[in-house]
Amino acid sequence: MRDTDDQQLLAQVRSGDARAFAALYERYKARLYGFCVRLLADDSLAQDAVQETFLKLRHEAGHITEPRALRSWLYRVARNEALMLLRGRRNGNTADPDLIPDSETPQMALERKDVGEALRTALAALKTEYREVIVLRELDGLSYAEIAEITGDTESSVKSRLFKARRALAERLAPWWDERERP
Amino acid sequence: MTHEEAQMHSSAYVDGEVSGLDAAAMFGHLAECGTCRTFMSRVLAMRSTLLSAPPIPVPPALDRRVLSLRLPQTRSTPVRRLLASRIQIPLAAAAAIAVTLLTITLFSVSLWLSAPPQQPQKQETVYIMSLPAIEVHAPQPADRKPVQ
Repeated sequence: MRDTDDQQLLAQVRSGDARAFAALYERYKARLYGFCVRLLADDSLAQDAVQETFLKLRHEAGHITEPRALRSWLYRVARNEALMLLRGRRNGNTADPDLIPDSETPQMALERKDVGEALRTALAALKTEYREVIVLRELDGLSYAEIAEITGDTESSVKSRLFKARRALAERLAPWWDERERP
Repeated sequence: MTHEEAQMHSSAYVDGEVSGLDAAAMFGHLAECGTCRTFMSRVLAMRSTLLSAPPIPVPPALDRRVLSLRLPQTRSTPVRRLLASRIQIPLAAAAAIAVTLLTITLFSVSLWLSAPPQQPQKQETVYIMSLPAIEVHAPQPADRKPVQ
């Protein structure tokens, strides 16, 4: 049903319908913005990435070869924009989300006994390639096939990357669990 | 099955991405391995925690930025292209054309108002009548009857 709606809205966007464009934005803005914020750990850059994504939708709506896969297309563009901004930031002097554990570790959050906060900190501390698959799978509920389409990997590679990401997260959170499970 | 394989299958199992045979082998391993059971339970706990997190609100500034983007009109047909090109006449040129047309209109109206009224011409009706042609045949010799 969603795919059908997406196809109809995309066809209307192609003919210059601003309301259809707004409807697609309303449908995907929260997911794409949440994805970009978690990937970039920066509100302002995440807004830039989402804006660029919809700018591309505006210009390239007529060239999307598979309208049924619009969701994957939007995520793929948002991811590429976010990674480009991330690379730009690494070349500059601003903070890198992959270096976040230096500022706050899961152990610090552990002291506050908040698993949600500890998990968010641990997630932000993961490598970008691990963080993105966790967000796409756990928070956005995408299938391995969709994640593979977005990241340009094979499904078996996505499966392996998700496993390593979960193992890395579990290792970072092990002190919290060990503390809690201690008799 | 190694711990690594069992944990990789556990990770895929919670996503519903493991075949029946692999799942059977994985559960066989989990039945005997506390470390891998712990891993699987923590994977499920992480998922539950992540899903319970409140969504990140989208800033209104982003709405304004995206919704202010103007959509290009489609250029699928020559007619649409023609219409689009007519819209793109510069303002100065459009104003000059409008003033010229207005001047011509006003001049024409003033000429029409200043002209003397014309007498209506007398009309005559002429009826042309014609008769249909009649074909006359001379009698043939064979048709003649002897005179008695």
